[in-house]
Amino acid sequence: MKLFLRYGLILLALLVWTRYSLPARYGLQFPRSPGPVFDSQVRAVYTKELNQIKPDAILLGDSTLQAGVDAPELARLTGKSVLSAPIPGSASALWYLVLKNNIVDASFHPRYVIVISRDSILTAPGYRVQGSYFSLLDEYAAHNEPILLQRSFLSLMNPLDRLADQFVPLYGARFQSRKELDGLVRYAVPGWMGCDSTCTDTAMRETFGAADLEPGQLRDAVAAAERSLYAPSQLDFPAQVNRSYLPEMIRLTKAHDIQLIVVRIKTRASGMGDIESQALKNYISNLSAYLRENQVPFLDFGTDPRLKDEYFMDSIHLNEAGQKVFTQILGEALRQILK
Amino acid sequence: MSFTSFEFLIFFLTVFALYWLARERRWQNALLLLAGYVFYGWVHPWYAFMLGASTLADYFIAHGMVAQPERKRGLLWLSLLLNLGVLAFFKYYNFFSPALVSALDGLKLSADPLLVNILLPAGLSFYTLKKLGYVLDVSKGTLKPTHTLLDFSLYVSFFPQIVAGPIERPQKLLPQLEATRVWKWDNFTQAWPLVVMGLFKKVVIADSIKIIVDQIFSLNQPSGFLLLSASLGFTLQILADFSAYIDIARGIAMLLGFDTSENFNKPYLSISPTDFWNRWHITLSTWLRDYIFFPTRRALMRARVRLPDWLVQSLPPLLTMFISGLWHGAGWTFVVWGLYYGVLIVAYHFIGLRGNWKPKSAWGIGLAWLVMFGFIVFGWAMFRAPSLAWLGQVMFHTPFIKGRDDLMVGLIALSMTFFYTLPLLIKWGLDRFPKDSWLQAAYFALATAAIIMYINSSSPDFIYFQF
Repeated sequence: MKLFLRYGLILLALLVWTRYSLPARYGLQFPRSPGPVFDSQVRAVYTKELNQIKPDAILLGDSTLQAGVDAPELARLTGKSVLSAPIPGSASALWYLVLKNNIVDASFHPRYVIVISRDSILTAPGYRVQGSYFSLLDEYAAHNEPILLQRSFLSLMNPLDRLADQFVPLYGARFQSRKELDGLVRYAVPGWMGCDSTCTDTAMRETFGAADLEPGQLRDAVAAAERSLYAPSQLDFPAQVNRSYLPEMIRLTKAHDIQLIVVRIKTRASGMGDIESQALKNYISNLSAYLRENQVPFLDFGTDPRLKDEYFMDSIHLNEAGQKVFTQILGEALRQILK
Repeated sequence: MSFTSFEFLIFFLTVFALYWLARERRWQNALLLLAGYVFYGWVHPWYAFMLGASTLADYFIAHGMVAQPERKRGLLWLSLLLNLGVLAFFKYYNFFSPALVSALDGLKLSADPLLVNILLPAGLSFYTLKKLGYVLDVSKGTLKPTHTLLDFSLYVSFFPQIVAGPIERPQKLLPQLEATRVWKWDNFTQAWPLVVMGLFKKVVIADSIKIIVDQIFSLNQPSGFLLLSASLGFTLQILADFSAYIDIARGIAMLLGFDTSENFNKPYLSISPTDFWNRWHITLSTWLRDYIFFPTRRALMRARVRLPDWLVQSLPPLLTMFISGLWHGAGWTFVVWGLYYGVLIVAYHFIGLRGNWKPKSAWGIGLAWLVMFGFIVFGWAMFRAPSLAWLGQVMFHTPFIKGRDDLMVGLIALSMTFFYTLPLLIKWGLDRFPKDSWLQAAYFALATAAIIMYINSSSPDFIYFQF
């Protein structure tokens, strides 16, 4: 018991010390609102492009859009000008931000916003928002983003998490302290050898560039990251839809007279090839009904037999041959909708 | 449900409160049994169903052995078939599933998604060995089967141990389950340092070093230097991760009034392969020793045909370590890793460094440690490598250092390994001081502060969940 009492005393002293030292060190206020803080800069790259190019349609998506759709060819097939906005590592939270802070904010609005999604990604607000994905989000987020904060962060925090984030600087400032500590460990030894932080970061980037990853490991890593999209909770559409960005994306597009179109691209990430689990089938049927109710066209290529296994370079990305086939299929389908 | 999750905290606090309020042993056991099944079936309820079915089978098989001794042999085979069959099916299924699906496709039959997506139930390897040990002991007559299905089921599904051990022997856990347990403050004073240390090793050390280790082992062709630095990192990661789980499991068990087995005894201070396996995953090593190694050696020594001594000495460790490798995973890397230790044990034996061998001088001990530590690190490189071909390629066909970038990344990995090893070395040093000293208290307080700072920023899976 003596050890526990001594431990308690020292821990208390540490917590009191960090209560004052950390806010001063990182310029933070405690108590504070829980959740991350976004900077006030918004990357407006697509606003500029929209104002310059004035396309009929803009394609939103992640690296699967980049790998799967040949935008000039799609424009030729549909007879409409198309701007492609693939952001590798993005998901529904970022697509919502691009729509809200880039597309809607542009002086020119395209007639169509086409979201290239897959399976449950549109109703998974917590997917790809933590760690390095956060920096990407922060680029497109304004300082005040109540919907983003609520759906991607606060709703996923447990009560203890929220309390600690609000009142305990050691926890609330953990990202800043870890960054500083990691920096110390990472840069110290290379620094002694004349390699500064820029040189060290370049070395890391060069060494771990995706092109040099072992194919099996890369495939497994992609599949492992995607697995969360197939968890029973994620496939519960009625429970997920109002926590997601989909209603807000529909509202924003309607308010600005833009037609939203949702495309479901095929993947092999569920690990079942052409076979869909009952839960996924139910999810897609609910999603389809919801979109129909909201007058949003839904193009479902999730089980399209024309997209064969050999057209995939991993569980979610199409290869060059796959891109040709998918662009063709998508173009034919969009021609009926884009008027 | 991970030990480091909020769900587990709520789950454990509820179980803990109800458990000590129950007072009556039977109610306490019933509650723990329910908790075990909820904990185990949290992700996939059918895991709990499978656990229940296999527990019932072994309970009745063990009783059948006592009631009908003449059928003992047949019942033992039945239990072996059931347990090892289920284990082999789940462990090796994913090897064969693509072939099965394409064969069904060829027959114009569509494979059921459930069948295609069968996952290895977490902890199956651990509770299978627990049940097998029980049945084998009952068949040998060294253990009387417990008469209460509740106690036996709880022995198998005891939630602190079900996912990653320790593989507790019935002789140790069953008597505790059958005894009355009353709350003592000693439970708490012994448990909290284990829980803090476990969380610290998992959240701060293992999850931090894991990032760069995973990155290097994901490279197509890393240099030898990167492989070396990542192997050292993994050496730290696997010890921190697995011993963290065991510390938390032991702490939780202690809070419920149970004394469970230690699984590690400073394994990286070993001076020979036998010494290593006496210190690493001790409950698995003793299980393999008692149920594979000794019986094989006895059988060889009693064989009707007199076998050469070298064969009698070599075969049992080779077979035991081969099985150990297979138990760890369905892959050639695991099998070869197991055999590698078998070969090392045999080699040490034949050069006269057998059993409890220890050099007389400090220099000798230092040298023996260095050699063994090298073998351990190489073993983990094999264990963690994506494939043996990959390892061979990196070792024999890739330059040791590819360039400046490569050197810098290797140095970063090494400095991270060193940085995250320091707290463990400091703890070993501090263990020379009295257990309730201010220094120890300060260590635990700093460890708690580090946990608060590091938590919620990494993957929560413990490495040993997959075995």
